[in-house]
Amino acid sequence: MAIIVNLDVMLAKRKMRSLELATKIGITPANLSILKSGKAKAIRFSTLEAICKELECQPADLLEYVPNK
Amino acid sequence: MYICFLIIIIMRKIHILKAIVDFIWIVSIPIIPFAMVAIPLIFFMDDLGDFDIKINGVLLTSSSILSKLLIAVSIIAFLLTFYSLYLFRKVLAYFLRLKIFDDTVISSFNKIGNLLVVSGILSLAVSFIFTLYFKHKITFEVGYDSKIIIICFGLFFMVLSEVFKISKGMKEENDLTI
Repeated sequence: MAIIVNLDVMLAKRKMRSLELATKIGITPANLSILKSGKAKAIRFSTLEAICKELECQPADLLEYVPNK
Repeated sequence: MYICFLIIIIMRKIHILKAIVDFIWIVSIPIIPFAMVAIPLIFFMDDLGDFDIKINGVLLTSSSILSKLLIAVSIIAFLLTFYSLYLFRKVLAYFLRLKIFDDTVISSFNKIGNLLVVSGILSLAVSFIFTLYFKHKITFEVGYDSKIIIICFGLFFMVLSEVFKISKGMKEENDLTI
């Protein structure tokens, strides 16, 4: 997929664990893992808002567009 | 809460349907070995007049190769319908386990569709040839027990298979929306 999710990078920058973020934003660790691994097909604005709020970042810090070769 | 209520209602209907299909299946099972043995046996028998074989309500007394062939094709059509019933039972078992958008369900629906269409066409051909050859007339029957209805059911199952394929994609997309 051309959209890369940089959630693991942001988590490392904020020194936060996946489980902690999952608990804070109210989604299951399994779903967060799907998001981190790039298997997710879509992300709800509410989820993106919650992640940005917790990690104190912008959506652009989490998502990146890399054209397919 | 609403989804749980919906599942309970659907499950009750599936249980009733499964009971009916199981009953038809159990009643039909003893016929299968006879039908399978009968196909090759018909061609080795000299006189079919000893048996009360009826096609379209007309007693078959002729022992020509055409009449034997028509009987064999009718039995094959019956066996195909029976196999589709077996597949339908399998699909219902998947539904009871809440595996609704499984690949097996989709492929089974497609197979059932193909089998019913082939069975319907064979039955229609047998009915047409029999009426033409033995009664010397051409008839076209439309009703609830018509062969056309079986073909329509077959096509419906094929469409249902395509619908389930689309639904599976949508479900996957929904499951992978975080």
